[in-house]
Amino acid sequence: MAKAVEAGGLTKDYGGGRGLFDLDLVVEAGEAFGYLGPNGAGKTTTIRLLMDMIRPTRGAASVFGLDCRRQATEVKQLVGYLPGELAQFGAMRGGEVVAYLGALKDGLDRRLVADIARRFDLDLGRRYREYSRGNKQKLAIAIAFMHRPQLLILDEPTSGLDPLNQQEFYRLLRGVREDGATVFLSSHVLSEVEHVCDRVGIIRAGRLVQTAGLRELHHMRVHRVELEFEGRPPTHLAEVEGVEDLRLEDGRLTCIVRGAFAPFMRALAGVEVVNLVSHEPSLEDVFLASYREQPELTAPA
Amino acid sequence: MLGLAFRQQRWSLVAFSLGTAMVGFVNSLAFVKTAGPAAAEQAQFGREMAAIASQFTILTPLPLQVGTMAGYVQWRYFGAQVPILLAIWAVSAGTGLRGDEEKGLVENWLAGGVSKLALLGWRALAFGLGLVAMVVLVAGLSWAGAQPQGGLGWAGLLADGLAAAALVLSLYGIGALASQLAPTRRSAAGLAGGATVILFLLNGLGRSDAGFARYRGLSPFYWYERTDALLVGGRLDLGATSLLGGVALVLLMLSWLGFRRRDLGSSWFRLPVPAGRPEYRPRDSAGLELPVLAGLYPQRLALAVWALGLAALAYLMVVEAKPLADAITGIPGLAPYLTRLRATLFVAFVDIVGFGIATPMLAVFTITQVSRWAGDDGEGRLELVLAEGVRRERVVIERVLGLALAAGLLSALTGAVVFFESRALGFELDAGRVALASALMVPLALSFGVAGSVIAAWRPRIAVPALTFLVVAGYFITQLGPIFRWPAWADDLSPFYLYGNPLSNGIYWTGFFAMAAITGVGLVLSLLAMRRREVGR
Repeated sequence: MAKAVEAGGLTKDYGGGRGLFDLDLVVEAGEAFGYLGPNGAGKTTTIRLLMDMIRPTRGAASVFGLDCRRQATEVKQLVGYLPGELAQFGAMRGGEVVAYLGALKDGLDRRLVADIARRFDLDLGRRYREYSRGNKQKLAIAIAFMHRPQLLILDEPTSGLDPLNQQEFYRLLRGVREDGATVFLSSHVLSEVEHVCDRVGIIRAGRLVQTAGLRELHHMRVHRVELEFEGRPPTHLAEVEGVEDLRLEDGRLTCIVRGAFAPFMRALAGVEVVNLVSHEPSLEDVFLASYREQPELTAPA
Repeated sequence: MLGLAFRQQRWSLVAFSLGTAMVGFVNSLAFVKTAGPAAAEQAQFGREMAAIASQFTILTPLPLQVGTMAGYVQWRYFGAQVPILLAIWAVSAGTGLRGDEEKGLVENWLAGGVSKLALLGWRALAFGLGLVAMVVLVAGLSWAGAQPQGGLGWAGLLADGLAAAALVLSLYGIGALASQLAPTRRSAAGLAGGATVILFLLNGLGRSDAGFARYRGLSPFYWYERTDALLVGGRLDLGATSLLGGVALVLLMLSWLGFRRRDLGSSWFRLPVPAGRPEYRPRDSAGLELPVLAGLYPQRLALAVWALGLAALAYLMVVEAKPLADAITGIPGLAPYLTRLRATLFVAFVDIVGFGIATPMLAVFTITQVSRWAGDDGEGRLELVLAEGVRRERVVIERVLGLALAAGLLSALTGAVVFFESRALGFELDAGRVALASALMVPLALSFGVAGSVIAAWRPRIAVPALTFLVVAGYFITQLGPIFRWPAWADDLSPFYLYGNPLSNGIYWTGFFAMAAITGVGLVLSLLAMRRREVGR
C-alpha cells in the first residue's frame, strides 16, 4: 500500500536560512504522526507544501502515491485539513460555513458534523464573527473531519481549546484512527503529541533532526522539579536514575528529572514533602537540553 | 498617537486629496477648451449651460455665472464634484476605526492604556489636519490650472476649500457614528454611505421641489452650498461653515458616547438574542451548495441594496431627462422645429445621463466584488476552499461568472426601470435598445472585473486600490477626452468609452469586441496568475 505521506528532499528556501530544507519523511498509512518543533521551525511550511498552498524550491512530496504538486486536486480529495491560522467568515453562520465548504467535494457527513458540534457544544446557528477563538477552532475541527478523510493534516489543532475540549478532541481523533484514518499532526506541545501519536518527527530550524517512537520520546522528556520538604535533606535523590543538577537550600530542592518519573517518585518515599511542583519545559528547552553538551533548562514561558 | 492616527489613514488621505485636487486642476484648465477663448463664446456657453444644467439640480447646484471660469469652477467643481469625491473619503475615513477594531488593533491599543476618547479624538484630529492639507492642495492646483487663462482668486479658492472641509468633517462624523451603530465596518460604511446619499438627494430634490425644500436644512450639503466664494458677490458663509463644524463635533461626541458604552466587537444598540436551543446540525442551504451562486449567496443583502440603489438612480435619471428634453424643445421660436426631436432628446439624455451614471456605479460594484476576492485570500477563505480539492482555475472562473451574473441582474433591473418609467412619462423607448444598453453593462463590468481578478490573483493586497485607479482613470478619460480632443485611440483606453451609447446609437462594435478581448485576455492572465502563485498568509 502507498505511504500516506512521503517526502524526498523537500525544500522551501525563503532565503536567509529560513524555510524547510531537505525533508525526507515517510508516514505509514493508518499511523498517527506527530510533527514537533518550536515556533518558526518549519512545521507549517511543511504542511502547506503538502497541501500545495506553496511550491517547493526542490524535492517532492506525495500523499498516498499522488504527487502533491501535480495531482494536488486528487490529493485534497483524500485529505481533511486544519490550518494553523483560522479563516474569517464574517456574518456567515457556522452551519452555513459547513454547508459552503462541505459542498465543494463529495462525501459530506452531516451526522458526523452534528456529532462533533454536540460533543464540543458548538452552536452552528450562531454567526462566525460572534464565535470566541475556541469556538472558531472547534468549527475548523468539524470542517477538517466532515468528509471522513483518509488523511488528516492538522496544524496546531488544539490551539485555543480549553483542557476539557482538548480531551474531547483526542477522543475524536482516536475514533477516526479506529476507522483507519492516518493523522499528521503538527504541534509545539510535547504532551499533545504524546496523547495521540505513535511516532514523532522533530523539526528544528527547517531540518528534521529526529524521528522517534513514543518510548524514545519519553526518554527525552525533561522536567524541572521544585520540592519543599521538612526534616533531613533528601540528598539520596542525587543517586536516582534520571535526576540531574540537584540543588538544596533551606528546605527547598530543585532538580531536573530526565525520562521516566517513577524512580524519582519511589525515592521520595520517606521524605516529608510539603510541596512539589513539576514544570514541563518548552520544547525549545527540550531540544537545547538534548542537543547541547551542557544542557540548561529554563523555566517554562 | 497622532502619528499613528496619520499612519492609519495616510493612503486614503494622499489619494483623495491628490485626486480631488487634480480634478480641480483639470476643471480650471478645461474651461477655455469647453467654453471657448473669447468672452462672447464663454457668455453663450454660460447661457446654454444655465438652461441645461438647471434641469440637473438634483445633482448640482443652480449654475451661476457659468460663463466665467470662476462660475464654472464654482458650479461644476466645488458644486458637484468636490462634495461627491470627498463624501466617499469621509465615509471611508469615518468608519476606519471600526475596521481597525475588526483587525484587533483597537483591542491592543486599549490594552496599552490608550483611552477610547483618545483613539477617536486623535484619529479625528489627524483627519482634520489632513483636510487642511487637502484645502491647500485643492486651492493650489485649481489656481495653477487657471493660470494660463487669467486665474482664480486665492481667497475664493481657500474659502470654498474651507467650506468643503467643514462639509467633509460633518460627513466624517456620520461615518464615525455609524461605526458605533453597526457591528462591522462593512455595514457601518453601508449605513453611513446610505445616509450620505439620502442627505445629498434631500438637498438636490429640495432645490426644485417645494415639498423637499423645507427639509433641505437637514442636509449638510445645503449649508455647504451657501458658500460660493469664487463668484462675483459670493462669499464664505461663516455661519453655515461653523454650523457644519458644530454638527461634526456633536456627531463625534455621540460617537464617543457610543464607543464608550458598547463592547468591542459589537454595536451600541443590540437586539436581544432570542433564547433558543443551540443548533448542532448544519442547515441545508441550496444557495451555498451551488457553484457560482455560493459566492453570491452570502452577499444577498448587499446585492439587494445595490439593486434598489441602481433602480432608484435609474428612476431619478429618467425623471430628470423629461424636463431636460422639455426645456430644449420649449425654446421660444424653435418649438415647432424641435418638438419632433423631443423623444430623440429624451433618449439621448437617458443614454448620456442615466446610463452614463449607472455604468460608473456598476464599476464601483465591481470594485466591491474584487475587494471580496482579495479578502478571500487575506482572511484565509481561499486556502480552505482550495483545501477541499477545488481547482484554482475553478475559483477564478466562478468569480468571473458570479460577477457576470450579478452585473446582469443589476443591469437588467436598471433597464427595466428605465423602460417602464419612460413609458409612464409618455416616452416609448425601443425595448431592444434598452435591452442592449443593459446587456452591454455586463461586458463593461467584466472588463474591470477581470483586471481586478488578475491583480487579486497576483497581488491581492493592491487589488482594490489598483482597480479603483483604473476605474477613475477610465471615467476621466471619457470626461476629458472630448474637452481636450484626444485621439480616438486614447478614448478607447476607457471601458466606459468602449461601452458607447447603445440606447441612442446601437452597439459600438469596436468597443464591444475590445471589451470581449479585454475579458478574454484578463481571464487567461487570471488563470495563469492563480495557478502559479502561492496562497495564504
